[in-house]
Amino acid sequence: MITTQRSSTGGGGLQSPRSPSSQPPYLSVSVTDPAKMGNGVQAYISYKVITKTNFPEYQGPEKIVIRRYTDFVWLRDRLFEKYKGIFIPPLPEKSTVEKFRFSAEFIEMRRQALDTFVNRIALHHELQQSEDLRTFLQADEQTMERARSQDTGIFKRKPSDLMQIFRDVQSKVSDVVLGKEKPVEETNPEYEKLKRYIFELEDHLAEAQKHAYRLVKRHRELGQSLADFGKAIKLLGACEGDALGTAFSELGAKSEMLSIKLQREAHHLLMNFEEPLKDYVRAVQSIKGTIAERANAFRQQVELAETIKLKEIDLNKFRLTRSEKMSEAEHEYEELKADSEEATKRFETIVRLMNEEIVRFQEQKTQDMGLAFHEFAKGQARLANGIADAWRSLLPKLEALSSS
Amino acid sequence: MKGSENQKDRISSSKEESEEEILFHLDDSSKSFSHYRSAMSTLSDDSDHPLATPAESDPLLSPPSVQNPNSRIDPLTYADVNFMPPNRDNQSQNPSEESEIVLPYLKITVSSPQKEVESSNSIVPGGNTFVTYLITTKTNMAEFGGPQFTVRRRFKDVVTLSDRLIEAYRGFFIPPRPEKSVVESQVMQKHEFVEQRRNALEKYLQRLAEHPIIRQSDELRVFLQVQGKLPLLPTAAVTSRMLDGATRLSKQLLGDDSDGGSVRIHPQDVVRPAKSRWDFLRIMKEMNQAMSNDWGGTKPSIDEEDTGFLQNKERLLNLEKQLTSASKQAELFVKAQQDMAETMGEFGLAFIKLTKFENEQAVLDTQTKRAADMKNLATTAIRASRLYRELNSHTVKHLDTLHDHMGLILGVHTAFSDRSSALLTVQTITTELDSLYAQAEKLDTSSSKTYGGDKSKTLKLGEVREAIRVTEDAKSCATREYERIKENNRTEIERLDRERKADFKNMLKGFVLNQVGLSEKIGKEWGKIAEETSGYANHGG
Repeated sequence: MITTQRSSTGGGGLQSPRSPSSQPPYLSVSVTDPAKMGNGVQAYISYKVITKTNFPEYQGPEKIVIRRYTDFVWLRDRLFEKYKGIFIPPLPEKSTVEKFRFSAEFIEMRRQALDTFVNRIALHHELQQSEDLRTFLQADEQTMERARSQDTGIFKRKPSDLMQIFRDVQSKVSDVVLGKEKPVEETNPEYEKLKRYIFELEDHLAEAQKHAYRLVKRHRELGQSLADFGKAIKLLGACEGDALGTAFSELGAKSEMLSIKLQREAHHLLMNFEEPLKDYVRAVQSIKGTIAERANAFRQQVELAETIKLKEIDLNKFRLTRSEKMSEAEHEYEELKADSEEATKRFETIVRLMNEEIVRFQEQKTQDMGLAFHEFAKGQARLANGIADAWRSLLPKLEALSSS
Repeated sequence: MKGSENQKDRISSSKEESEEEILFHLDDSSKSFSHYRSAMSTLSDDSDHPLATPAESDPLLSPPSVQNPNSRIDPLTYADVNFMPPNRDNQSQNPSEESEIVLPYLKITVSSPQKEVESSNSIVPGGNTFVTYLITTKTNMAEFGGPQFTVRRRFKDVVTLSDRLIEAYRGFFIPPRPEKSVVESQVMQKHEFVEQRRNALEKYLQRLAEHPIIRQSDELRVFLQVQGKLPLLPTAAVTSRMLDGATRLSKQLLGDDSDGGSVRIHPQDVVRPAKSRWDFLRIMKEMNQAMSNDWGGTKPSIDEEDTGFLQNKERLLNLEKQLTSASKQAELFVKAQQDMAETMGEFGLAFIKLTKFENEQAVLDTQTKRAADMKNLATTAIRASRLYRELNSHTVKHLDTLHDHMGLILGVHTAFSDRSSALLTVQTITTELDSLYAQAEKLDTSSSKTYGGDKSKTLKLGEVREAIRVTEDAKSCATREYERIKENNRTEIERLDRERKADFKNMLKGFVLNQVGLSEKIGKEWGKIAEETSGYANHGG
């Protein structure tokens, strides 16, 4: 998990032209110390964001700022807007359930996810150059708040807009798959395959994550039932008395001990497996956003090309008739050509970036999942061995009991 | 689940392990293990379940002496994963085995429920239907005159048997019979209910067979052997027999056979609770007394002097409470283990699906690698799920001991109330005797004062003296009966404690061995995967 990385030299950050030759450039961030601020409905959690870097654009080797969830959202939205084609790292969801919002577990999960989010940005060779990132990591709270509120206008894409884009892209994909209509879409078969892959992957992952969560619950339930069972067995032992009673008491005590182990394992499973799985789902959803952006860019390009064609026809008409509208039309035509070039460049950038990103993404996910699997297996082995050890320690006494 | 059909096709076309082919059939299986009792019975069908080990014979059904051909059990580890507690008096042994000391063996099984119609003069068209069960007995006891025989009985017959045994074996801890549970029969599926009842009947009859005294009873023998209609009369209601016996008994006791044909009843029969008492008044007295008592409450009129007994009673009461609680918690624990097994299996399956998807869609090598990692995790999860299931089926067996003894200890109530009512009988007779003596004395002194004596008074005195003689007899019978019941109580408590402790020792050992063995295996499986994926931990992103 990237969270464990502090000073990384892998994955990027080596291309900065102005980096001092004495030390490899690094930018590492940590999100810590969640604190509840405010009261009642207005209450929220604030986090300490600590930046350690030797990037020349940054003010000094270490900086600490206070940020809240909406600040992270701002950063994500800005990056999404500016770096089209790049898979922007996902953010944990906004929680709507009131009483859950301030539970220790939720806060810890969110903190971990936010930490991962910022670090992924910091490690991305392009995103780490972002000015918005610098603002986020360094600006004082007032500047941050101003920046946040300014962006409700032009740049801030409302979540509902984003969802609409998702839905559009999704329905267009299914429409194409079903052969319904012929929208303005790329006809790149490889890209089609990728789109389908992303959409189906999300479904599979969501299913897997659901089962992972259920497994966490089962651990908790088993733990609880063992605790209750242990208690009842202890009481039974008190009734029986003599050596048998003692054996019962010890069995009960072991049960209670194992109950704690199970609760611990449930937590470990939640943090080190289920959460990474959720993160995977979010990442795929973020990619869907990029797919939507690409579709937009493509559409723009096509529309502009069509507009230009029409303009050409007009222009030729004006040329022939030597109309006074000609110069204006020429001017417009030139503008359109410039725009069209821009649009084409934008689109092609997105395509190029996406191709790189998909490779990076897959590699990252293999690593992330590999680690998650490792943690899962490690935890399960630890639990099972712990259970075996605990029960085994009772055997000598039980042997003695049988022979008595 | 959607996509499963496609998956099946893809399985056959790709070179996958056969293990996964079995795994996918799980999609079609929809057995729910939600109800504990059905979990108990469906566990016996577990061998059909695709997530269960295919080659294993079900330990719940097969006799314990059969060796389990389970190749996965490592003989060097705590191999007693299939540890079965040795039965207390070796009833599980095959009767054909030669042994020097032949212990009595009586094994009863209940099977093949069948619907039958009450072929009687019922006014209702279509008649009543009821279920009969095949009762199979295997024994080496001479009283039965044969090693194996069967009979068909219905639930009503079992109720009769139970009532008769309670009546005949006062002071003994008679295992309680299965309940009539009308409500459940409406709620549950018919076949589920019948299966549950069959299971309960088998347990009950087997417990009777294990009781050293009851197994020799005529009532049980008749129940198990006599073909056709059960020749045991159900116990009539107290009131009806009261009226029946009350008028007859006095004449019978005094030798009056003029009613014709009734059997001479001995004084010892008098000592039955006033159902068959000759004095109607005594019936009323006893009933009043019994109603104001409850066997757990304070009864100042019955002087139970035996403090040892009282201590035992309290201890057993407490034990009953704790056993009930422990049994319930054990049930919940077993359910939680079952749920864990199931969810682990479903989890594994979900990842198998993801693996297949990733493999089919793979464009980059890294995807294929991820798919391979995922597959290892998933198959291990499925293996772990199987192991959990196995663990649980043994746990059920072991912890069921708690439930069994909870049932046995309930028999204590009838035994103790037998004792109370016997004591009540003695005391009532004593009180009566005292009043008879007082009566006699009064008649005696008054008659001697009258000149010449009053002929009627002399006659009356004679009658009273006769009544005293009879009542003295009755008292000594009642006292003997009380002492007998007390002794039965004592031996039964001893037996119950002894057997329970022995069973619990075995239970603890079996349970723990089982947990150790299977947890070790599960730990090993996961350890392998942890090892294989340890590279990811060192890489660290």
